Amino acid sequence: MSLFWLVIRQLAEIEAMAANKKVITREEWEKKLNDVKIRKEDMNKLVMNFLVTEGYVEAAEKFRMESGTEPDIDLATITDRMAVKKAVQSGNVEDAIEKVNDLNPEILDTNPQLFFHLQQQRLIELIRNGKVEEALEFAQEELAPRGEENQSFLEELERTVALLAFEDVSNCPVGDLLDISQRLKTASEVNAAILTSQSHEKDPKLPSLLKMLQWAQNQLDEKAAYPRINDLSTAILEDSAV
Amino acid sequence: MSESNGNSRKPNVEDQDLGLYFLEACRGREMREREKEKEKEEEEEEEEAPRELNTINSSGGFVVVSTDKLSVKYTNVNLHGHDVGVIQANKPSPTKRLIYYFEIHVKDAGVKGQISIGFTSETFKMRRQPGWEANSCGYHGDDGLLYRGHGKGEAFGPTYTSGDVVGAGINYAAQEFFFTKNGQVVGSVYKDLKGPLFPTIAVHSQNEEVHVNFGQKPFTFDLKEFEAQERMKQQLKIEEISVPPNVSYGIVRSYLLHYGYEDTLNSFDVASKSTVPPIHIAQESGIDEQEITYALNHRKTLRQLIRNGDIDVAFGKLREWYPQIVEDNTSATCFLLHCQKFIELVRVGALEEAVRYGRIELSSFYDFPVFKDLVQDCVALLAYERPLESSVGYLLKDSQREVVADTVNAMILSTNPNMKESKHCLQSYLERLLRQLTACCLERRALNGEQGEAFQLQRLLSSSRRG
Repeated sequence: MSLFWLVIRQLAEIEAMAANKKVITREEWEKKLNDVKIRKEDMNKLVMNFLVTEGYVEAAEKFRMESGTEPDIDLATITDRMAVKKAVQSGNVEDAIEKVNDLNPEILDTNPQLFFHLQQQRLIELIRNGKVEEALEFAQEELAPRGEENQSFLEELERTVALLAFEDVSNCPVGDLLDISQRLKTASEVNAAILTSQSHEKDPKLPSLLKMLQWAQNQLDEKAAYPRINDLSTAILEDSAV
Repeated sequence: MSESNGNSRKPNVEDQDLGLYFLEACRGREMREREKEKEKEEEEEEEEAPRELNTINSSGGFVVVSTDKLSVKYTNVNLHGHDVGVIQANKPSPTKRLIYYFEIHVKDAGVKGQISIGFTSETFKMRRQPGWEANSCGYHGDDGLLYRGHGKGEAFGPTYTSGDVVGAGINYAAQEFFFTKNGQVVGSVYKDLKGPLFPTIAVHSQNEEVHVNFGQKPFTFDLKEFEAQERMKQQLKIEEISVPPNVSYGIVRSYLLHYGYEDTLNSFDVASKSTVPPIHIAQESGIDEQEITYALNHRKTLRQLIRNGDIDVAFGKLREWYPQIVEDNTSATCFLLHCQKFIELVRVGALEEAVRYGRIELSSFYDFPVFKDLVQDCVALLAYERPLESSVGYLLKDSQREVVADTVNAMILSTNPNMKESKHCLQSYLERLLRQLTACCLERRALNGEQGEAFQLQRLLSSSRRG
């Protein structure tokens, strides 16, 4: 280690002590890490939960066989859910709506916002495909009545219809609606609603645990200098106090 | 395998026998479970909450405490500031929870309504209002001020009098005191006091009478809702933190690689390529990837064999592919495999063969403390008609096969000449991250004087089925 880094490190340690922080050396910290008990089954469950929630049905099936971990949801329901998601992602919104209703009609009945967003997506797809007349008719008959119930729906509708006002939509202020990310947004909204209707969490646990790790490290930073993990993707333990 | 080991050879129990790491994992499993349960019970028991007023250490001359020790009345005529009728709870506020809270009902505000509620340390001077002295804090009824350690109060909330219900609480997550009046939060203030804090009430003029509720009766204040909100606040703070996109994919993928779940990995890779937009993660993890793609197919095959209970075949493959792992028949890895073979024999009811096998392969391990416990547990299987239901039934579970498979997996990873750190073959990224998470939470709580809710990873992992 170069002298420069040694000095930097010492300075950081002094700073930590000045701030009345506890300094935990790498050795001490590693001992603490070793004392933590992590059960393999728990990690397997975490991975299974990720596969299932994110819709990796085949991988989940394989993982069940390879690790003996039981999924926390009927795997068959994932296939249906993914079909809906895929339909939205590829612009077949009508198809998606039908599939959701086949799965459970209550999902859309009890979720007007989701239904509106799906209809809005349908309108976007019509405009994308240059079906102006059909788009107008659809907007007036299906979307406008819903807008009357809800101010934010109305604004969204107006924003969407604005797409028709531009010849070159790639450069217009509402052009983002035509972006693939809009489809993904709608798709993940449907995905979440289906999971919720199956009394399953709509998000996998792993990303929240990673957030919690960052949060816990930030919290501990206030009281102590210790070896952090800064790069989650490599899980490398940095030196303390630097 | 038929040759017996002479006792002259000592099992390899030095640090470099990585297999020992897993030995602890499997033996410890069952005991840990039991310990954990005990711990949980202890924690709940040991954290005794206040139930009544402490009639021994109180300013006895000025107040009368009712026989149920839950109400107090000032019977004198107060003359000066050192004849306050103060009384503490019989126990300090419990700390190992999110929030501690208690309430008083002012039955009679007496002549002057000089009632107060708050928290005081054990050594508090029992003739003064809480908040007047150091190491105390009190919300006073006559002026609505909050007193924290000196005679001068600070603007805080409304006054309170006969008929009011007033509460005091400690929010350990936020490190705050908070007070309520008639079910509404009045305000909160940073908790600058350390050490055990006793719920305390004081009365200081003739006929003042107060009932205290330590939770025996329902509170006027909706504590459950308040707790839920506090949890939500914390949850929102955590959700606000951003982590790099797709980092979870990378961690899951490296986990599958690490443990040699090759079929899962293949399906996972195929699927993540076909998602919109496709997920690219392989490049990010870079060099480390080589460490864990190493011998993937071998590791998968061996895991399958062990999971199916085909220990003989697994042994054979290991001899063929990685002779160095099984060459020392007294290593932890060989030991675990031998135990597993024994267990498999018991499972299929081949008890005589199990006895024979045990005499040849297991008895020599009996002399060594690290192995002894597991040998004993294995042999104990023979004693039960229904071993699965016995105290050593854990050996017959799938998880035991998994431990053995994980050991073999790690040993193969350790033969990788490119492996930079031996720890890497023992722990996946996921495991290292979870350890870091747990260690951080435990350390933070320790630095907070063990206050607040205990961190339990397991509780987080099993909390599912939220609507």
